[in-house]
Amino acid sequence: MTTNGFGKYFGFKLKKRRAQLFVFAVLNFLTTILPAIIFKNMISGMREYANRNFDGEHSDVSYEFFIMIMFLSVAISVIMIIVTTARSLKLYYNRPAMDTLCSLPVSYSQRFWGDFLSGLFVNFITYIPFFGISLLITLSAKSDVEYLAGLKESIRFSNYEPLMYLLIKVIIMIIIVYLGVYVMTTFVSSACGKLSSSIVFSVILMVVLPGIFISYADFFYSFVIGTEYTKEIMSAIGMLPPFGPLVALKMDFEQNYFGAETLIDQPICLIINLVLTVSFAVGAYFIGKYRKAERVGQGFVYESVHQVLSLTLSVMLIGAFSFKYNSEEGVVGIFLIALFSFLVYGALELAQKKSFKGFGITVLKFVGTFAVCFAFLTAIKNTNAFNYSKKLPNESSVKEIVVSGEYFARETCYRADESIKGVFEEHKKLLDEPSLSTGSGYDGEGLTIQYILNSGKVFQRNYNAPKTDTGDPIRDFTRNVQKLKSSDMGSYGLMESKDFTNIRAKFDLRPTDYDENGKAVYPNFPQGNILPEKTEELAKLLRYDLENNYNANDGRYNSEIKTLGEVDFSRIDGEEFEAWDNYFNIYETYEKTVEFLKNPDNYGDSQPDVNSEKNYFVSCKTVDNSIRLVISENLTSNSDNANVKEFLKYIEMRENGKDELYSELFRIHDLNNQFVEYGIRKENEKAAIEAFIKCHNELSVQ
Amino acid sequence: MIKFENVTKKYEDFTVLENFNLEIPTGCAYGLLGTNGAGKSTLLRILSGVYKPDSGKVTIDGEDIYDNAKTKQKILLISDETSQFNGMTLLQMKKFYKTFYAKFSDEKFNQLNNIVNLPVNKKLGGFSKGMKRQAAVICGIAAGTDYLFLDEAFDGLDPSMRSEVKKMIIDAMCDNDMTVVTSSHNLHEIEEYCDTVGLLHHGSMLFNKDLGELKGNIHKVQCKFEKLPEKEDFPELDILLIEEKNGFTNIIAKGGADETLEKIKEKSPNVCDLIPLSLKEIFIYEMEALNYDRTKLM
Repeated sequence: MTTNGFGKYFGFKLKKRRAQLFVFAVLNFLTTILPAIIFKNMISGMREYANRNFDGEHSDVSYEFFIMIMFLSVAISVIMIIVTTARSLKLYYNRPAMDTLCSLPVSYSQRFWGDFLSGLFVNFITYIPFFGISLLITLSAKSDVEYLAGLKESIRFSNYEPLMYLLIKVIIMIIIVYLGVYVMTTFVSSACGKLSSSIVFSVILMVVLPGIFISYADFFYSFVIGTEYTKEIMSAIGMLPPFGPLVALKMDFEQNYFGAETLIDQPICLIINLVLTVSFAVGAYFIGKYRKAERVGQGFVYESVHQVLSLTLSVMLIGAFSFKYNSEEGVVGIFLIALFSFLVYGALELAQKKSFKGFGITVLKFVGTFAVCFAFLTAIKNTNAFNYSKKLPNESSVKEIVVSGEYFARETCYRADESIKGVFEEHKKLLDEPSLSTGSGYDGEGLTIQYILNSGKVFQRNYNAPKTDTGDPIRDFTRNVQKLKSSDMGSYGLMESKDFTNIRAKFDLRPTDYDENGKAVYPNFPQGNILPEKTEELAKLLRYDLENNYNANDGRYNSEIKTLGEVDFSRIDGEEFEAWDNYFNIYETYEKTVEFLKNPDNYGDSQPDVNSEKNYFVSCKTVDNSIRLVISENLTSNSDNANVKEFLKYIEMRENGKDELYSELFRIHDLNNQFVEYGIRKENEKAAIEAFIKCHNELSVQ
Repeated sequence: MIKFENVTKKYEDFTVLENFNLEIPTGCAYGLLGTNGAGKSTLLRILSGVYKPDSGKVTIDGEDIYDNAKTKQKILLISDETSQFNGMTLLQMKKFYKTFYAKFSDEKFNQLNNIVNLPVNKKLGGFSKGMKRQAAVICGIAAGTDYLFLDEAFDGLDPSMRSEVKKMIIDAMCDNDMTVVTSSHNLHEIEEYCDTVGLLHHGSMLFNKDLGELKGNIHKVQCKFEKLPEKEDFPELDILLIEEKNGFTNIIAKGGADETLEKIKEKSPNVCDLIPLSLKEIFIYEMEALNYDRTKLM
């Protein structure tokens, strides 16, 4: 392909599309720079508000506003790309234009690439620099984002960092969506002989590609007990150009909020998406090359393309309507599904043929298609999605199983081979339960079973089953599984995770001071965030305590483990937070706790004042009436330990009515919430603490 | 030279050209005739590389034309419709052609436009049909191509516009040794400036002749006999038709003019004049001799 003819044709097409360049510049600005500006302003406003100790009003532009602007711009851009692309390929549907352009001294390849690349240029040339500017603007908010995230008083500030990166990724993803729209419109236009057909069937192709997948997946999963969409299905949707990435993001966003994955986060999906997009471009080239120019003015140059698109649309509608009317039994439901689907298909056929000639063939084609789809959907329905509900992963591929739900105090993790085997057996029994249905498994309802595979993938099922007079399948499962040896607590495992220690710990800590009205007060402690390495250290120390507080009989950790202090370790849940008992109370001064625990002798001037600050004991409840300290269990088992003996000397049962003699935080609770107060006399407190620290350090896993 | 070799072109359920063969020599002014739907436009589009023949070969100066940018530098098609330029001014249209045709001559363009005085900065959408056609012809001629193809070039033009356009084409042919192929269903127009004509019908050429030779070989003699003669009365002549019209006997015969006149005069008609035949009349009589119903041809 010589560049001479290409250059001339490319230049000619660019000149013709000058006005579109301006329009796309405006739209691209709205999609990239404007959201970045709004984000930056939002963050700046929040910082200013924080600096004023959260006093007065603050401008709190909600996420929804700039998301709305952005998506409106995206929607308009998509429409513009479809219409302008189809219109620019005038030689495909306008005979005089075809005569002039096809008779020019330009080869087909030069003409095709001239059209294609001039369109790409016009649509995207402004997106690239605007994206660069939006990136600069967004990242200029980084320091404010980090500042806000470091504040202990408001959990919601921690959301801005993932939001910032989500914004950047979405802006990148949108250009990939635009590229898909452009290429697919070119593809369909190459097969059409009329502008209206180009536009309508471009939209049909873009809808059908993810739509047929989603409608049949929806139907399929409606019969799979235990799950709706898996991450793999959403990723597969994300591969489909052009709108798959947006659809998959929306689905994931609803579950994971700002932790949602975009196409940019999934390289293999991105590659497949781009490969499919390029395939459409190649297809457009060859379809245009071999099309019969004399068919210009006819709806479709390739009748087969029309048939494939029309029938595929019908297949999608049959799946979608079947999902909708799934609950309607019998002939009425089937009739409605067939009717609505046929109306669309018939309309497309009539628009193409412009007469009822051969309509009998149209009807027969639809009946055949409907029969095949209906047979497939019936097979899914009657076999409960080909028994997919009963599918479990290979036992040997499972690294650990995490179970949570209504009857679990907290997530429970099983790693031992026997435990994994036991969970599998109970799960299989549960699957035979006829009343079993898909449940949430969260917020204490139902049951969630997560199989974490050796590959890192997660196989999850969520169940619910009604409680009846005769039984409660979920409870039965729970009881049997709790007898198995668990490994770590789910939350504990969470504490081990890098994500937790690096981010959650950093942002979760806040003082739980309350005013006289019971309203939480968040003082401003800009330097109050905890360094991640410190939380790791604390996690290790607490781990030792947890492991030694495990009750094998009930398979539960029955202790509340409190270190001293007043800061709650709270779970983040969107902008709300809730004190979750399964987490540990970490006191504000825990940083000092860690240091002190590690090296009490050399703590120097920073040694906590045991009179004004809390002491460093842990207390616990026991499952039975036996009085057992976490430490004391260790102390008991290590009764020959000199430090243990030393510590135990200072523990005595508190005399009633003589509270003033003792440290009041030293209590031992039982499960009935009764406690026996053991105390250490105030004059002995320092010595007891020192002894305690020594034996604790000696016994702790470092 | 333009050459069609065994070209077949079909549209779904009917055949436009079937094993079509044609040669058009360089420098020729070729008139392509045929009824509506005969395939004239199709032939021109195949010639311009717009359509691809289903089989056979179309060459210009020995080179295939379809998807051949180099050969297409030699040709320019002026379609029967110019609506694709409605959004352009004449100046922009000129720039368009100048972009693609290396031999485009601004001087020629200006010279031609000085004759017809078309506004250069007004959009062609505001031109009349004739003005649009003139604009297209001006650009086509100024492009300086070796071959110019005109599809229904004069359709819808008033007589003065027609004359202007024809003159431009004739002058260009003389100046540039351009080969012009014009399609029309109007014999009169073709007759005025084409030197070769062909009649396309049902996918093949019924007729492909030099116009001078055609005219020189068929004659109409208007005479008056007391009794209408028969063909057998003139055994030496190749009589195509004898008819009585308005009291006169018209004898249409092939052969030399003098010989034909002499043979008829031997029968002592009262009146005997050689009347020039129009192209239309020539075609009609030729087709009737081939047993074609002339009403279906024209």
